[in-house]
Amino acid sequence: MKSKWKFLINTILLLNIVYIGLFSYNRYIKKAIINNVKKNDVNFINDSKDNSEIMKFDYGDKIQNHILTDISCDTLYISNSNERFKYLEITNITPINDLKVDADFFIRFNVLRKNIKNKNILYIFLLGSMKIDYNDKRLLTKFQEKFDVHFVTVSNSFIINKYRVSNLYCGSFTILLDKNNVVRFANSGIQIETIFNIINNELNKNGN
Amino acid sequence: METEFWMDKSFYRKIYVFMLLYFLLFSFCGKIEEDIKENNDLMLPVYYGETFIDVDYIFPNGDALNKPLGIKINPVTSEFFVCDYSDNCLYVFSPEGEFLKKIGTAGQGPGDLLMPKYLVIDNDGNLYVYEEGNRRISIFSKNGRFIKFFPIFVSSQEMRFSVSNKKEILVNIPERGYYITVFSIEGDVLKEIGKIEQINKDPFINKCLAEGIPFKDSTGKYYIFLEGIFSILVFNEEGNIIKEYPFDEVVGRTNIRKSWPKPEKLENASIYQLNLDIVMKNDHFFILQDIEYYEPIIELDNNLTLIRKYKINSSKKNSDYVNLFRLDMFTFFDIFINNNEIQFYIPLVERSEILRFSLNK
Repeated sequence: MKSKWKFLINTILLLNIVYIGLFSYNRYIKKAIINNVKKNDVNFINDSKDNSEIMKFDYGDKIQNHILTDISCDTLYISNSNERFKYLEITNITPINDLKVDADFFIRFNVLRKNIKNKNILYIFLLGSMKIDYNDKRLLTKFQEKFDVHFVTVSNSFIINKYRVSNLYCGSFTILLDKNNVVRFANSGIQIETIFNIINNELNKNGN
Repeated sequence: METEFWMDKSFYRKIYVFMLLYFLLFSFCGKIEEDIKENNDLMLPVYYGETFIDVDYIFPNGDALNKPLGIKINPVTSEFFVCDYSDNCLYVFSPEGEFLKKIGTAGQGPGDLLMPKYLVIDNDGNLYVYEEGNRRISIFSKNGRFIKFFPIFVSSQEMRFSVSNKKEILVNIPERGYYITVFSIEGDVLKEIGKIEQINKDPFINKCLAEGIPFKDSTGKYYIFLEGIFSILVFNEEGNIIKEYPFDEVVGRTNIRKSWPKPEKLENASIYQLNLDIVMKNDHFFILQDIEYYEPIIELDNNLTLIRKYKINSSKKNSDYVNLFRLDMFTFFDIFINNNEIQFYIPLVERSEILRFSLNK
């Protein structure tokens, strides 16, 4: 009989401990978990950088003459003699990233460019601060032929209007020039769909 | 051999059932207490939601809402302006929700918009748009005609500003060392209000703690609703601080984030910003908070005393929305007051819809 009481008291004690545990979980721990989740959500704030430094081009700035040579040794002129709209995409590739040709990007690029009525646009991709090995070079040459674009490799010290390629913080920087080499758009981190939208708008504005 | 009662299997079954009942009875005790606390204002009228602009509404020009960050009502023309982040434009609607026109196209030229993030409309109906992509404030007339723009460099992801009755543009740029920077309509800095104290050792944390939404009322007092340390600072016209109001005291909320660390002790990862948007109408502040609260909209007067709370709660009619309606960091809303009847227009960014909440009699 004595053991029966002992057992019952032990059970009640155990249940009380469980009760206190559940109570404190509902009351305090749950809230702490919710707060912690929220803290993690906003960690990305830390990643934001003031990239005002890279805004070196203003709308209406004029780009000086530049002569570029693409990967299959064709000469490209960014000058008044070339009466075409120019789409320049500067991609800064560090040795760590290596060269990765984004297939998805080029499929989207190819689809979107078909919607542009004026075909007189020169598409140049500037690949900054990288060494290209033989296989990559072959791949890029194939892309050049297939998509009618030009890949130009430029060094760390490549400068357009005081703008140095190596200063690029983010993945890519887009410059849109009209036929007179006047900047119609220059910004970084813009989606390709938006850029083609802008090209269309700028072509409509100038009656091209 | 005589068996003891504890050796019997049925005894354990009884204990198991008893424990289960015990758990069911008491495990929700903590929760029940909280529910009682939060439901003190059960008598508040409920504002029901209905779709004002639907995601399926294709406009005559072929466009549709894409990522509507916010909506503002023009006090002069009574038109509704929706700021579309993905379509890089403002869509204009009639009070009945019919598409009227589109303002701006994607680009960087004068009158173009790139990632419009915040919109303010002044008393004369002029539109002030902050473009994240171009880092500038563009000004349009009430008819949508481009007037001018001026550049503004803010590193904060969330940029909030307001325009006073005298057409001063109040912007919160903590990098300048002041809570409020007052710009003229030409883009010149007129004055700076409230020097920021360096509370924490980390300059990044200090900057985050000083981020907020600035206002100026008709009596000339400046307000900033700080989202990092949950307090409201009030300055006089000369820029001297009058008083600091902790947000929880003003709102009358006591049971949220009691254990929040002091700003001096904050570490880099622990910064949490309150998601707010505030509309000022007739010197009254309407604050939209996270939906986790039962009364997400709070009205304060210019002495920061609580006037009333507005309840947007789950009912059968709008229970569908309640789960989706989470205040995005960048969402902004507006209210429409007509004969003392108030309507709230709030965007659902993820669903590309605009909702109207009103009293359904």
